[in-house]
Amino acid sequence: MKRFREWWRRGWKVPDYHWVELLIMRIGLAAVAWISLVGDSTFLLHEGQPHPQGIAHWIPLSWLSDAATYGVVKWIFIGALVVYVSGQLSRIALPVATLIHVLVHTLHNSQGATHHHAQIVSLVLLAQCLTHWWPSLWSLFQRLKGSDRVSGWVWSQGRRVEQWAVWFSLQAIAATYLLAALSKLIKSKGIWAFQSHNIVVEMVKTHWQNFYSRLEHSTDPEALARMNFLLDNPNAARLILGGGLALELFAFLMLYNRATALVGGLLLISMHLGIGFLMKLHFPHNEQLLLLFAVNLPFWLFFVWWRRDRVPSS
Amino acid sequence: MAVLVVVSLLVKECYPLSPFPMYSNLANGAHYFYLTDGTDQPLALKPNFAVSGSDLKKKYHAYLNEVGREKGIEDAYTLGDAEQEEAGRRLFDELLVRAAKRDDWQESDTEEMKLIRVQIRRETGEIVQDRRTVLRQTIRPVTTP
Repeated sequence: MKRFREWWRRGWKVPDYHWVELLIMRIGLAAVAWISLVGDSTFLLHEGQPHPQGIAHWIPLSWLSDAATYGVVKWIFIGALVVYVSGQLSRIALPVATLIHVLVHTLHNSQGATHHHAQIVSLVLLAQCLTHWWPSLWSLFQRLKGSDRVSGWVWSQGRRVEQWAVWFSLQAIAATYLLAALSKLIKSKGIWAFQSHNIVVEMVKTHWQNFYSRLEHSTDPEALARMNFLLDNPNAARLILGGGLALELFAFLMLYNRATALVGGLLLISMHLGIGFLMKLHFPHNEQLLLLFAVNLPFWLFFVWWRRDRVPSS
Repeated sequence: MAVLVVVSLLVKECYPLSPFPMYSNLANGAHYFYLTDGTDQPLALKPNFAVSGSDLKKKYHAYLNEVGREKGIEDAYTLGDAEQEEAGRRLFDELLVRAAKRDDWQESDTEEMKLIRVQIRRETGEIVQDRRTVLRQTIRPVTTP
Protein backbone atom coordinates (compact mmCIF):
# COMPACT_ATOMS: atom_id res chain seq x y z
CA MET A 1 0.00 0.00 0.00
CA LYS A 2 2.86 2.36 0.90
CA ARG A 3 4.55 1.62 -2.42
CA PHE A 4 1.31 2.31 -4.24
CA ARG A 5 0.96 5.64 -2.44
CA GLU A 6 4.54 6.56 -3.42
CA TRP A 7 3.86 5.53 -7.02
CA TRP A 8 0.65 7.57 -7.03
CA ARG A 9 2.43 10.69 -5.69
CA ARG A 10 5.20 10.49 -8.30
CA GLY A 11 2.81 11.00 -11.21
CA TRP A 12 0.11 13.40 -12.39
CA LYS A 13 2.56 16.21 -13.19
CA VAL A 14 2.46 18.38 -16.29
CA PRO A 15 5.21 17.13 -18.63
CA ASP A 16 7.86 19.62 -19.73
CA TYR A 17 6.73 19.69 -23.36
CA HIS A 18 9.42 21.00 -25.72
CA TRP A 19 8.47 23.89 -28.01
CA VAL A 20 8.74 21.56 -31.04
CA GLU A 21 6.19 19.19 -29.47
CA LEU A 22 3.90 22.14 -28.73
CA LEU A 23 4.20 23.38 -32.32
CA ILE A 24 3.38 19.93 -33.74
CA MET A 25 0.40 19.67 -31.37
CA ARG A 26 -0.89 23.10 -32.42
CA ILE A 27 -0.59 22.18 -36.11
CA GLY A 28 -2.27 18.83 -35.44
CA LEU A 29 -5.14 20.30 -33.42
CA ALA A 30 -5.73 22.99 -36.06
CA ALA A 31 -5.89 20.30 -38.75
CA VAL A 32 -8.31 18.13 -36.72
CA ALA A 33 -10.47 21.18 -35.92
CA TRP A 34 -10.65 22.06 -39.62
CA ILE A 35 -11.51 18.59 -40.89
CA SER A 36 -14.07 18.12 -38.12
CA LEU A 37 -16.03 21.19 -39.14
CA VAL A 38 -19.24 20.12 -40.91
CA GLY A 39 -19.00 19.67 -44.68
CA ASP A 40 -21.06 21.95 -46.93
CA SER A 41 -23.13 19.18 -48.56
CA THR A 42 -24.79 18.31 -45.24
CA PHE A 43 -24.63 21.55 -43.31
CA LEU A 44 -26.14 23.84 -45.94
CA LEU A 45 -29.28 21.65 -46.12
CA HIS A 46 -30.25 22.46 -42.54
CA GLU A 47 -33.52 24.37 -42.37
CA GLY A 48 -33.79 26.02 -38.98
CA GLN A 49 -33.15 24.17 -35.74
CA PRO A 50 -36.17 21.88 -35.25
CA HIS A 51 -34.74 20.18 -32.15
CA PRO A 52 -32.54 22.81 -30.43
CA GLN A 53 -29.70 21.58 -28.32
CA GLY A 54 -27.33 23.41 -25.95
CA ILE A 55 -26.89 27.10 -26.71
CA ALA A 56 -29.46 26.82 -29.56
CA HIS A 57 -32.17 26.82 -26.88
CA TRP A 58 -31.43 30.51 -26.31
CA ILE A 59 -29.75 31.74 -29.49
CA PRO A 60 -31.06 31.06 -33.01
CA LEU A 61 -28.23 29.63 -35.08
CA SER A 62 -29.94 28.79 -38.38
CA TRP A 63 -28.30 31.85 -40.05
CA LEU A 64 -25.08 29.81 -39.96
CA SER A 65 -26.33 27.39 -42.63
CA ASP A 66 -26.77 30.20 -45.17
CA ALA A 67 -24.19 29.44 -47.89
CA ALA A 68 -22.68 32.94 -48.00
CA THR A 69 -22.53 33.28 -44.21
CA TYR A 70 -21.01 29.85 -43.76
CA GLY A 71 -18.38 30.71 -46.37
CA VAL A 72 -17.34 33.78 -44.35
CA VAL A 73 -17.46 31.88 -41.04
CA LYS A 74 -15.16 29.21 -42.45
CA TRP A 75 -12.60 31.84 -43.52
CA ILE A 76 -12.70 33.41 -40.05
CA PHE A 77 -12.19 29.91 -38.63
CA ILE A 78 -9.19 29.29 -40.89
CA GLY A 79 -7.73 32.68 -39.90
CA ALA A 80 -8.13 31.92 -36.19
CA LEU A 81 -6.48 28.51 -36.65
CA VAL A 82 -3.52 30.01 -38.54
CA VAL A 83 -2.99 32.57 -35.77
CA TYR A 84 -3.28 29.79 -33.16
CA VAL A 85 -0.67 27.67 -34.94
CA SER A 86 1.73 30.62 -34.91
CA GLY A 87 1.62 30.51 -31.09
CA GLN A 88 0.84 34.23 -30.92
CA LEU A 89 -2.42 35.84 -29.77
CA SER A 90 -3.77 32.48 -28.60
CA ARG A 91 -6.07 34.28 -26.17
CA ILE A 92 -7.89 35.80 -29.14
CA ALA A 93 -7.53 33.04 -31.74
CA LEU A 94 -8.67 30.20 -29.47
CA PRO A 95 -11.98 31.73 -28.34
CA VAL A 96 -12.84 32.55 -31.97
CA ALA A 97 -12.03 29.04 -33.20
CA THR A 98 -13.78 27.42 -30.21
CA LEU A 99 -16.91 29.54 -30.60
CA ILE A 100 -17.24 28.77 -34.31
CA HIS A 101 -16.65 25.04 -33.78
CA VAL A 102 -19.21 24.89 -30.97
CA LEU A 103 -21.86 26.97 -32.79
CA VAL A 104 -21.59 25.04 -36.06
CA HIS A 105 -21.86 21.67 -34.33
CA THR A 106 -24.63 22.88 -32.03
CA LEU A 107 -26.71 23.73 -35.10
CA HIS A 108 -25.75 20.42 -36.71
CA ASN A 109 -26.86 18.56 -33.56
CA SER A 110 -30.08 20.61 -33.37
CA GLN A 111 -31.53 18.72 -36.37
CA GLY A 112 -32.85 15.81 -34.33
CA ALA A 113 -29.90 13.51 -34.98
CA THR A 114 -27.26 13.92 -32.30
CA HIS A 115 -23.75 13.05 -33.41
CA HIS A 116 -20.90 12.41 -31.01
CA HIS A 117 -17.86 12.55 -33.26
CA ALA A 118 -16.97 16.25 -32.87
CA GLN A 119 -17.57 16.91 -29.15
CA ILE A 120 -14.08 15.75 -28.28
CA VAL A 121 -12.60 18.36 -30.64
CA SER A 122 -14.78 21.15 -29.26
CA LEU A 123 -13.88 20.09 -25.71
CA VAL A 124 -10.15 20.15 -26.42
CA LEU A 125 -10.47 23.62 -27.98
CA LEU A 126 -12.54 24.74 -24.99
CA ALA A 127 -10.00 23.29 -22.53
CA GLN A 128 -7.16 25.18 -24.26
CA CYS A 129 -9.24 28.36 -24.38
CA LEU A 130 -10.02 28.21 -20.65
CA THR A 131 -6.39 27.42 -19.78
CA HIS A 132 -5.25 30.58 -21.55
CA TRP A 133 -7.96 32.72 -19.99
CA TRP A 134 -8.12 31.23 -16.50
CA PRO A 135 -5.39 33.41 -14.89
CA SER A 136 -7.18 36.58 -16.05
CA LEU A 137 -10.61 35.28 -15.05
CA TRP A 138 -9.28 34.27 -11.63
CA SER A 139 -7.69 37.66 -11.14
CA LEU A 140 -10.95 39.38 -12.13
CA PHE A 141 -12.88 37.12 -9.74
CA GLN A 142 -10.54 38.09 -6.89
CA ARG A 143 -10.91 41.79 -7.68
CA LEU A 144 -14.71 41.49 -7.73
CA LYS A 145 -14.53 39.70 -4.38
CA GLY A 146 -12.47 42.65 -3.06
CA SER A 147 -9.61 40.35 -2.13
CA ASP A 148 -6.21 41.88 -1.26
CA ARG A 149 -4.42 39.16 -3.22
CA VAL A 150 -5.14 40.37 -6.72
CA SER A 151 -1.88 39.14 -8.19
CA GLY A 152 -3.82 36.47 -10.01
CA TRP A 153 -3.72 32.70 -9.83
CA VAL A 154 -1.22 31.43 -12.35
CA TRP A 155 -0.45 27.93 -13.53
CA SER A 156 2.29 26.54 -11.29
CA GLN A 157 4.78 23.62 -11.36
CA GLY A 158 7.17 25.81 -13.35
CA ARG A 159 5.30 25.10 -16.57
CA ARG A 160 4.16 27.58 -19.20
CA VAL A 161 0.52 28.14 -20.05
CA GLU A 162 0.96 26.31 -23.41
CA GLN A 163 2.18 23.24 -21.53
CA TRP A 164 -0.80 23.41 -19.19
CA ALA A 165 -3.08 23.76 -22.22
CA VAL A 166 -1.82 20.43 -23.58
CA TRP A 167 -2.25 18.84 -20.16
CA PHE A 168 -5.87 20.01 -19.94
CA SER A 169 -6.46 18.84 -23.53
CA LEU A 170 -5.43 15.36 -22.43
CA GLN A 171 -7.75 15.70 -19.42
CA ALA A 172 -10.66 16.58 -21.73
CA ILE A 173 -9.88 13.56 -23.91
CA ALA A 174 -9.67 11.22 -20.90
CA ALA A 175 -12.94 12.68 -19.55
CA THR A 176 -14.86 11.71 -22.70
CA TYR A 177 -13.84 8.07 -22.22
CA LEU A 178 -14.56 8.07 -18.52
CA LEU A 179 -17.99 9.57 -19.26
CA ALA A 180 -18.73 6.88 -21.85
CA ALA A 181 -17.79 4.18 -19.31
CA LEU A 182 -19.86 5.76 -16.52
CA SER A 183 -22.90 6.12 -18.82
CA LYS A 184 -22.66 2.41 -19.65
CA LEU A 185 -22.46 1.45 -15.99
CA ILE A 186 -25.24 3.84 -14.92
CA LYS A 187 -27.70 2.97 -17.71
CA SER A 188 -27.16 -0.77 -17.45
CA LYS A 189 -27.17 -0.67 -13.64
CA GLY A 190 -23.62 -2.02 -13.59
CA ILE A 191 -24.18 -5.10 -15.77
CA TRP A 192 -22.99 -3.68 -19.11
CA ALA A 193 -20.13 -6.15 -19.50
CA PHE A 194 -22.48 -9.05 -18.74
CA GLN A 195 -25.08 -7.93 -21.32
CA SER A 196 -22.45 -6.89 -23.88
CA HIS A 197 -22.91 -10.12 -25.89
CA ASN A 198 -26.03 -8.37 -27.23
CA ILE A 199 -23.66 -6.19 -29.26
CA VAL A 200 -24.32 -8.56 -32.14
CA VAL A 201 -27.90 -7.18 -32.32
CA GLU A 202 -26.42 -3.69 -32.67
CA MET A 203 -23.99 -4.95 -35.31
CA VAL A 204 -26.87 -6.29 -37.39
CA LYS A 205 -28.73 -3.00 -36.92
CA THR A 206 -25.68 -0.96 -37.96
CA HIS A 207 -25.16 -3.18 -40.99
CA TRP A 208 -28.71 -2.58 -42.25
CA GLN A 209 -28.65 1.13 -41.40
CA ASN A 210 -25.47 1.44 -43.47
CA PHE A 211 -27.10 -0.55 -46.27
CA TYR A 212 -30.18 1.69 -46.47
CA SER A 213 -28.01 4.82 -46.46
CA ARG A 214 -26.78 4.09 -50.00
CA LEU A 215 -28.36 0.72 -50.84
CA GLU A 216 -24.89 -0.80 -50.81
CA HIS A 217 -23.85 -3.68 -48.58
CA SER A 218 -21.07 -2.60 -46.24
CA THR A 219 -20.62 -5.99 -44.63
CA ASP A 220 -18.30 -8.47 -46.33
CA PRO A 221 -18.46 -12.26 -45.74
CA GLU A 222 -15.64 -12.00 -43.17
CA ALA A 223 -17.64 -9.44 -41.18
CA LEU A 224 -20.67 -11.74 -41.28
CA ALA A 225 -18.45 -14.54 -39.98
CA ARG A 226 -17.34 -12.27 -37.11
CA MET A 227 -20.98 -11.51 -36.28
CA ASN A 228 -21.81 -15.21 -36.26
CA PHE A 229 -18.79 -15.93 -34.07
CA LEU A 230 -19.98 -13.40 -31.49
CA LEU A 231 -23.52 -14.76 -31.76
CA ASP A 232 -22.30 -18.30 -31.08
CA ASN A 233 -19.75 -17.28 -28.41
CA PRO A 234 -21.37 -14.76 -26.04
CA ASN A 235 -18.53 -15.10 -23.51
CA ALA A 236 -15.96 -14.09 -26.12
CA ALA A 237 -18.11 -11.01 -26.83
CA ARG A 238 -18.24 -10.22 -23.10
CA LEU A 239 -14.46 -10.58 -22.81
CA ILE A 240 -13.75 -8.29 -25.79
CA LEU A 241 -16.28 -5.60 -24.83
CA GLY A 242 -15.52 -5.85 -21.11
CA GLY A 243 -11.89 -5.08 -21.99
CA GLY A 244 -13.04 -2.01 -23.92
CA LEU A 245 -15.10 -0.84 -20.94
CA ALA A 246 -12.06 -1.22 -18.64
CA LEU A 247 -9.96 0.81 -21.07
CA GLU A 248 -12.53 3.63 -21.03
CA LEU A 249 -12.88 3.52 -17.26
CA PHE A 250 -9.13 3.77 -16.66
CA ALA A 251 -8.41 6.25 -19.46
CA PHE A 252 -7.57 8.83 -16.76
CA LEU A 253 -4.31 6.91 -16.12
CA MET A 254 -3.04 8.52 -19.33
CA LEU A 255 -2.50 11.59 -17.15
CA TYR A 256 -0.03 9.82 -14.84
CA ASN A 257 3.04 10.37 -17.05
CA ARG A 258 4.22 10.28 -20.65
CA ALA A 259 4.62 6.48 -20.65
CA THR A 260 1.05 5.80 -19.44
CA ALA A 261 -0.18 8.35 -21.98
CA LEU A 262 1.62 6.42 -24.72
CA VAL A 263 0.28 3.02 -23.61
CA GLY A 264 -3.24 4.34 -22.90
CA GLY A 265 -3.34 6.23 -26.20
CA LEU A 266 -2.25 3.19 -28.21
CA LEU A 267 -4.73 0.92 -26.42
CA LEU A 268 -7.63 3.32 -27.00
CA ILE A 269 -6.69 3.74 -30.67
CA SER A 270 -6.62 -0.07 -30.94
CA MET A 271 -10.07 -0.16 -29.34
CA HIS A 272 -11.40 2.29 -31.96
CA LEU A 273 -9.81 0.28 -34.77
CA GLY A 274 -11.41 -2.85 -33.31
CA ILE A 275 -14.84 -1.18 -33.16
CA GLY A 276 -14.39 0.01 -36.75
CA PHE A 277 -13.41 -3.53 -37.79
CA LEU A 278 -16.39 -5.15 -36.04
CA MET A 279 -19.14 -2.56 -36.40
CA LYS A 280 -18.08 -0.17 -39.18
CA LEU A 281 -18.35 2.61 -36.62
CA HIS A 282 -15.49 5.05 -36.85
CA PHE A 283 -14.42 7.89 -34.58
CA PRO A 284 -11.50 9.34 -36.54
CA HIS A 285 -11.21 12.54 -34.49
CA ASN A 286 -10.82 10.54 -31.27
CA GLU A 287 -8.01 8.56 -32.88
CA GLN A 288 -6.37 11.71 -34.26
CA LEU A 289 -6.45 13.52 -30.91
CA LEU A 290 -5.19 10.45 -29.03
CA LEU A 291 -2.32 10.16 -31.51
CA LEU A 292 -1.53 13.83 -31.06
CA PHE A 293 -1.82 14.39 -27.31
CA ALA A 294 -1.47 10.93 -25.75
CA VAL A 295 0.80 8.91 -28.04
CA ASN A 296 2.84 12.01 -28.96
CA LEU A 297 5.01 10.16 -31.47
CA PRO A 298 7.56 13.00 -32.06
CA PHE A 299 8.62 12.86 -28.40
CA TRP A 300 9.10 9.08 -28.38
CA LEU A 301 11.00 9.09 -31.70
CA PHE A 302 13.32 11.71 -30.25
CA PHE A 303 13.57 9.71 -26.99
CA VAL A 304 14.57 6.49 -28.80
CA TRP A 305 17.11 8.38 -30.92
CA TRP A 306 18.54 10.12 -27.83
CA ARG A 307 18.82 6.84 -25.87
CA ARG A 308 20.47 5.02 -28.76
CA ASP A 309 23.00 7.79 -29.02
CA ARG A 310 23.94 7.31 -25.37
CA VAL A 311 24.05 3.50 -25.09
CA PRO A 312 27.75 2.59 -25.11
CA SER A 313 28.62 0.23 -27.97
CA SER A 314 30.39 -3.00 -26.96
CA MET B 1 -11.45 16.44 -15.63
CA ALA B 2 -13.62 15.70 -12.61
CA VAL B 3 -15.58 18.94 -13.16
CA LEU B 4 -16.17 18.09 -16.82
CA VAL B 5 -17.32 14.56 -15.95
CA VAL B 6 -19.76 15.67 -13.22
CA VAL B 7 -21.22 18.58 -15.22
CA SER B 8 -21.65 16.43 -18.35
CA LEU B 9 -23.46 13.72 -16.41
CA LEU B 10 -25.78 16.35 -14.93
CA VAL B 11 -26.63 18.40 -18.05
CA LYS B 12 -26.83 15.41 -20.47
CA GLU B 13 -26.81 16.44 -24.16
CA CYS B 14 -25.82 20.11 -24.30
CA TYR B 15 -23.18 20.51 -27.00
CA PRO B 16 -20.22 20.28 -26.47
CA LEU B 17 -21.13 18.51 -23.23
CA SER B 18 -22.44 14.98 -23.46
CA PRO B 19 -22.52 11.87 -21.30
CA PHE B 20 -21.59 9.91 -24.48
CA PRO B 21 -24.42 7.38 -24.06
CA MET B 22 -23.77 5.43 -27.29
CA TYR B 23 -24.39 1.70 -26.76
CA SER B 24 -24.76 2.27 -23.02
CA ASN B 25 -27.62 -0.20 -22.73
CA LEU B 26 -27.17 -3.27 -24.88
CA ALA B 27 -30.58 -4.89 -24.80
CA ASN B 28 -31.66 -8.10 -26.45
CA GLY B 29 -33.45 -6.13 -29.16
CA ALA B 30 -32.88 -3.07 -31.33
CA HIS B 31 -34.69 -1.41 -34.20
CA TYR B 32 -33.99 0.64 -37.26
CA PHE B 33 -35.97 2.39 -40.01
CA TYR B 34 -35.81 2.67 -43.76
CA LEU B 35 -37.86 4.24 -46.54
CA THR B 36 -39.43 2.67 -49.57
CA ASP B 37 -41.48 3.93 -52.47
CA GLY B 38 -45.06 2.75 -53.08
CA THR B 39 -43.82 -0.46 -54.72
CA ASP B 40 -41.71 -1.38 -51.66
CA GLN B 41 -38.44 -0.52 -53.40
CA PRO B 42 -36.01 0.92 -50.80
CA LEU B 43 -35.01 4.56 -51.26
CA ALA B 44 -31.31 5.36 -50.83
CA LEU B 45 -31.25 7.81 -47.91
CA LYS B 46 -28.03 9.73 -48.50
CA PRO B 47 -28.42 10.55 -52.21
CA ASN B 48 -32.09 11.47 -51.84
CA PHE B 49 -32.31 13.11 -48.41
CA ALA B 50 -28.70 13.66 -47.23
CA VAL B 51 -29.32 11.60 -44.10
CA SER B 52 -27.86 8.26 -43.03
CA GLY B 53 -29.80 5.26 -41.75
CA SER B 54 -28.74 6.19 -38.25
CA ASP B 55 -29.89 9.82 -38.74
CA LEU B 56 -33.30 8.60 -39.94
CA LYS B 57 -33.89 6.73 -36.68
CA LYS B 58 -32.65 9.62 -34.51
CA LYS B 59 -34.78 12.17 -36.36
CA TYR B 60 -37.89 9.97 -36.13
CA HIS B 61 -37.41 9.59 -32.39
CA ALA B 62 -36.83 13.32 -31.96
CA TYR B 63 -40.24 13.92 -33.59
CA LEU B 64 -41.82 11.11 -31.56
CA ASN B 65 -40.50 12.74 -28.37
CA GLU B 66 -41.88 16.07 -29.60
CA VAL B 67 -45.34 14.52 -30.16
CA GLY B 68 -45.12 12.87 -26.74
CA ARG B 69 -44.23 16.18 -25.04
CA GLU B 70 -47.19 17.89 -26.74
CA LYS B 71 -49.47 15.21 -25.28
CA GLY B 72 -47.79 15.38 -21.88
CA ILE B 73 -46.37 11.87 -22.19
CA GLU B 74 -42.73 11.50 -21.12
CA ASP B 75 -42.03 7.97 -22.33
CA ALA B 76 -42.30 8.12 -26.12
CA TYR B 77 -42.12 4.32 -26.33
CA THR B 78 -45.63 4.10 -24.88
CA LEU B 79 -47.16 6.20 -27.67
CA GLY B 80 -49.67 4.53 -29.97
CA ASP B 81 -49.97 4.15 -33.74
CA ALA B 82 -51.58 7.58 -34.28
CA GLU B 83 -48.70 9.37 -32.53
CA GLN B 84 -46.14 7.29 -34.39
CA GLU B 85 -47.80 8.21 -37.68
CA GLU B 86 -47.74 11.87 -36.69
CA ALA B 87 -44.01 11.63 -35.92
CA GLY B 88 -43.55 9.94 -39.30
CA ARG B 89 -45.45 12.76 -41.06
CA ARG B 90 -43.23 15.39 -39.44
CA LEU B 91 -40.18 13.38 -40.45
CA PHE B 92 -41.43 13.17 -44.06
CA ASP B 93 -42.05 16.94 -44.12
CA GLU B 94 -38.45 17.60 -43.15
CA LEU B 95 -37.01 14.97 -45.48
CA LEU B 96 -38.96 16.30 -48.47
CA VAL B 97 -37.63 19.82 -47.91
CA ARG B 98 -34.11 18.39 -47.89
CA ALA B 99 -34.89 16.20 -50.92
CA ALA B 100 -36.04 19.21 -52.96
CA LYS B 101 -32.38 20.33 -53.06
CA ARG B 102 -31.03 16.93 -54.12
CA ASP B 103 -30.50 16.00 -57.78
CA ASP B 104 -31.25 12.31 -57.19
CA TRP B 105 -34.67 13.13 -55.78
CA GLN B 106 -35.50 15.66 -58.46
CA GLU B 107 -34.80 13.03 -61.11
CA SER B 108 -36.92 10.39 -59.40
CA ASP B 109 -40.65 9.90 -59.91
CA THR B 110 -41.54 8.64 -56.43
CA GLU B 111 -45.21 9.33 -55.74
CA GLU B 112 -45.62 7.46 -52.51
CA MET B 113 -43.30 6.91 -49.58
CA LYS B 114 -43.38 4.40 -46.72
CA LEU B 115 -41.57 4.47 -43.40
CA ILE B 116 -40.70 0.92 -42.34
CA ARG B 117 -39.67 -0.04 -38.80
CA VAL B 118 -37.62 -3.20 -38.36
CA GLN B 119 -37.41 -4.81 -34.95
CA ILE B 120 -34.37 -7.03 -34.46
CA ARG B 121 -34.11 -9.50 -31.59
CA ARG B 122 -31.84 -12.30 -30.54
CA GLU B 123 -33.70 -15.57 -30.20
CA THR B 124 -32.01 -18.83 -29.22
CA GLY B 125 -28.78 -18.25 -31.09
CA GLU B 126 -30.20 -16.49 -34.12
CA ILE B 127 -31.26 -13.00 -35.16
CA VAL B 128 -34.93 -12.44 -36.03
CA GLN B 129 -36.23 -9.32 -37.84
CA ASP B 130 -39.88 -8.17 -37.93
CA ARG B 131 -41.02 -5.38 -40.26
CA ARG B 132 -44.02 -3.11 -40.04
CA THR B 133 -45.13 -0.01 -41.89
CA VAL B 134 -45.29 3.04 -39.60
CA LEU B 135 -46.54 5.44 -42.26
CA ARG B 136 -47.59 5.30 -45.91
CA GLN B 137 -48.00 8.71 -47.51
CA THR B 138 -48.58 10.15 -50.94
CA ILE B 139 -45.85 12.65 -51.71
CA ARG B 140 -46.99 16.16 -52.47
CA PRO B 141 -44.77 18.57 -54.35
CA VAL B 142 -42.69 20.59 -51.93
CA THR B 143 -41.16 23.90 -52.87
CA THR B 144 -37.86 25.03 -51.45
CA PRO B 145 -38.34 28.05 -49.19
